[in-house]
Amino acid sequence: MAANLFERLFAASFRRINRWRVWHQLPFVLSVANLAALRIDLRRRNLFDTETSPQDPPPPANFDVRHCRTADGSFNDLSKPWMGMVGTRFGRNAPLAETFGETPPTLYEPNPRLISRKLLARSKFIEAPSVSVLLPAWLQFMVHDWLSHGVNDKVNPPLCFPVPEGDDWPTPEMTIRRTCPDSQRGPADEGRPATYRNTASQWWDASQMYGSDLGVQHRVRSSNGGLLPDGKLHLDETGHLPLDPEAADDDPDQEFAAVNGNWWIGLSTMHTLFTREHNAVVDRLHIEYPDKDGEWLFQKARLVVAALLVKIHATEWTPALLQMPTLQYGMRATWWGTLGQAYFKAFGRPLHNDLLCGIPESPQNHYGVPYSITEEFTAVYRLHSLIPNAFSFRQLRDDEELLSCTLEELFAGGTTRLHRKMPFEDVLYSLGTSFCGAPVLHNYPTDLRKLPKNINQGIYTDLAATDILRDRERGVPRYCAFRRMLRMSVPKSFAELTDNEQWRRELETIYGDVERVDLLTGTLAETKPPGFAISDTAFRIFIALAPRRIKSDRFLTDDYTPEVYTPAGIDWVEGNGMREVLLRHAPSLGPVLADVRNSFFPWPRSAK
Amino acid sequence: MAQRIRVPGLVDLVLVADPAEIRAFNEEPRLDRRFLPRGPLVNRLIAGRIRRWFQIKGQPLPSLAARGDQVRAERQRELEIALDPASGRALWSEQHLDKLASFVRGDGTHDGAAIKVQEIVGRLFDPLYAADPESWRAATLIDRFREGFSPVQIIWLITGRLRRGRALLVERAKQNRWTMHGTAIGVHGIVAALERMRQLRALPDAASLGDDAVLGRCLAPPKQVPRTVEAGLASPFVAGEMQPGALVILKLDAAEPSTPGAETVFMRGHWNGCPAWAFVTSLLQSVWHRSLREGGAA
Repeated sequence: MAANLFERLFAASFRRINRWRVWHQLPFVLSVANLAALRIDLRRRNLFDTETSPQDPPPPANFDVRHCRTADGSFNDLSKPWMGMVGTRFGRNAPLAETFGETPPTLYEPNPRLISRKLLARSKFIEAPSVSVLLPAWLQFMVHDWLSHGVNDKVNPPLCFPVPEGDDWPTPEMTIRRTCPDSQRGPADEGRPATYRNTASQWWDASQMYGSDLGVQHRVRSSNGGLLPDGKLHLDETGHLPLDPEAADDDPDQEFAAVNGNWWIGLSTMHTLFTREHNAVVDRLHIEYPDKDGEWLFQKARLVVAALLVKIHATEWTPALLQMPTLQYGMRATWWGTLGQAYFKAFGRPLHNDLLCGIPESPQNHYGVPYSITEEFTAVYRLHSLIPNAFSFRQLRDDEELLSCTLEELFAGGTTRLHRKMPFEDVLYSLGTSFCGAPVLHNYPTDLRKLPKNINQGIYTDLAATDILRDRERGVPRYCAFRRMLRMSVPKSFAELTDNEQWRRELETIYGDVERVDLLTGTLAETKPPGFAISDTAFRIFIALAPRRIKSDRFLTDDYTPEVYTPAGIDWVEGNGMREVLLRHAPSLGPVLADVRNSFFPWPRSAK
Repeated sequence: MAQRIRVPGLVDLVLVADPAEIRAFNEEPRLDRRFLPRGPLVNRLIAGRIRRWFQIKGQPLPSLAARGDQVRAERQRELEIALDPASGRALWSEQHLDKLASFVRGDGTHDGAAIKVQEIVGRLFDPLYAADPESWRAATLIDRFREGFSPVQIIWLITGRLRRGRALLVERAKQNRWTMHGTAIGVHGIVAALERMRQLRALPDAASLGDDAVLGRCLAPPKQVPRTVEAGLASPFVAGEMQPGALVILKLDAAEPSTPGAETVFMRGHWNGCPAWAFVTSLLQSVWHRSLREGGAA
């Protein structure tokens, strides 16, 4: 909310410029400045707190909240210990009065299943030739860190709508459980839109690996019921994640991780890789600080791994997703500042100024609104189209195909069965050399549109229809309203929405009125800026929230110091990236990665 | 953090737009609505302007009366009961409802609807209250004058337009402070809400909006409300200590996107809560339902 006069004038001048030319059409220097102006504008006008009476948690017993991350995310902000902790509310980017959830009949209009079939269903895999399957794997790995709406509502009647005629869906009606409602609403919430609570710690703290409560954290650190004394996370004797002792009887091969829902091979790979990385950090710290106990080593290694994930996301993953010079520069400046990585390597961060030297070590700032992940952020991260239908697993040595699997075969326990059949290096090689899907219409993975929930009872889920319905249910504005609230130009016709003539006709047939287009279909159909894998609409939320997740976090700003992380810990974060992590845990990938500029770009295949 | 504009001897204004800070300042006992002539020059001019134009027979309008004013507090309680539709009293007529619903559906003019609203509000206090284009123009003038200074107001003052407008409203209100507040100031919140409602009604999905959503998107708070510092006050939200005579402006319209609902719009739950909140929300809901029921889709 807060912005000084200079910032306001700066943002206002670019608002004027953007009336005749959008940011990515400007020359490099101006477009970088334009991005900075957009970020100021979004911070000031699109961050809304939904909490009305948050309660401070009691300080955890015998725990150093100043120097370590708590399991539940509390005490990150020491003046507001509740901020960002597990169970706090999702915030908003849209003004609150515009976030009342839709109700019937419009909740079901147009029919979500019809949209799933006619606009989203994949008839032929449309690949994104510039990024590999590691990109969606990483994305889901991160999303599981940031947010979860928890188990759906089992008390209230589910959302229910008829399946269109001629559809092959097994039942005449489709039912989808509602999002679990906020059970702690009080008198101050009267007349305000519905709120939902994040069942994960909202911070960028690697809670998908370490859990959002102490019980889960102890489980990932335990073997045979006992806490590992050395501060490491539990891996089995083959270096893979252990099996989940609470796995369902019909799938005993499910791997165990702090967050292991929606499990597929991409997630399994990322969890395995970074669990190994945690243990490597513990080994390094143990050499440096041999007198420290396992608990201390665990907590410091957690800080290091979480910060490393943040760095990889900002400086490698996002530039792979948004391949444009402005963004390459802008995203790397998030970590190293506008002075750049070379300056950082030579002089470090002499100034605690996020613009010049990057956000780490700069002062923490919430910009007037307590930190939280927002519902709109959740909505624009619906990128299931990135996932392919089928996978080819080949050996690193000669690129020979060992296995060909469908996505469904790689769900849940399917990952363990794959790991038993081939080495981890080959799995990484296969994912790194496979293209991911393009986030466009008609590219939603087939298996995700008929997910078996209970095969015996014939219960399935159409994730595409669910995605559409979730945004409506949670009051995320539809596409045109969404752009309006971000002060972007709004298409007045389907022709203004997309260059693709076939899509125009299809959208018009389904929606009739461009104002009715859902956010998901609109962002998938939208003509994208050059080099972008995602839409400009979604990107606006990214630039509002991506730096905020770092700038609000005490452990990535004020306390990103050798005193808190240890000198060896800071060196580990600054000296490593995705390539180093891959090579540490799969050294045989060296020749393949030798000429790869970004680890999320497709890797070259081994010679046969 | 509140914004402070301070030039010693000239002006000392604190502008507050954060919902939590507004809440805290509103409950701070050292902030009140006394508007005594003290403090820097501009502060004195603002306080004098409030005392001069927003009083009747030396008594301030209720929305500008002091926290400890027992008459205000007592009348506020009485009105809250009297203006609650649940009390069974007819607070508006079917003809009023028809007219407003028709406006929301897109028929009629802004002024036509506004005059009806002024009449409804006036008749809450005086069954014979008469609103017409003249009284609405006077109320509009007073509202623009209240919202802040602009050079055109000098012309209104020189030509006597403002004085005549105020006199007309005082006369129509029969010198009743509460009637005057409702018909000159409070009425604008309802009219603004109806304007928003008209836009909402034009949307293709209007019929599926719930009551909370309609109210949340239509209710409009006053632009800002002033408070004076009565005793030296240090606040974590303001740089430096505030001295008696400093003016604190609570910018409710700036806070509204973060806190839609009764607390911001009506200060509900606070000592200065608007006693008409139940009346206003009920009237708006009735108008919305009527606009949907009759005339089909917009």
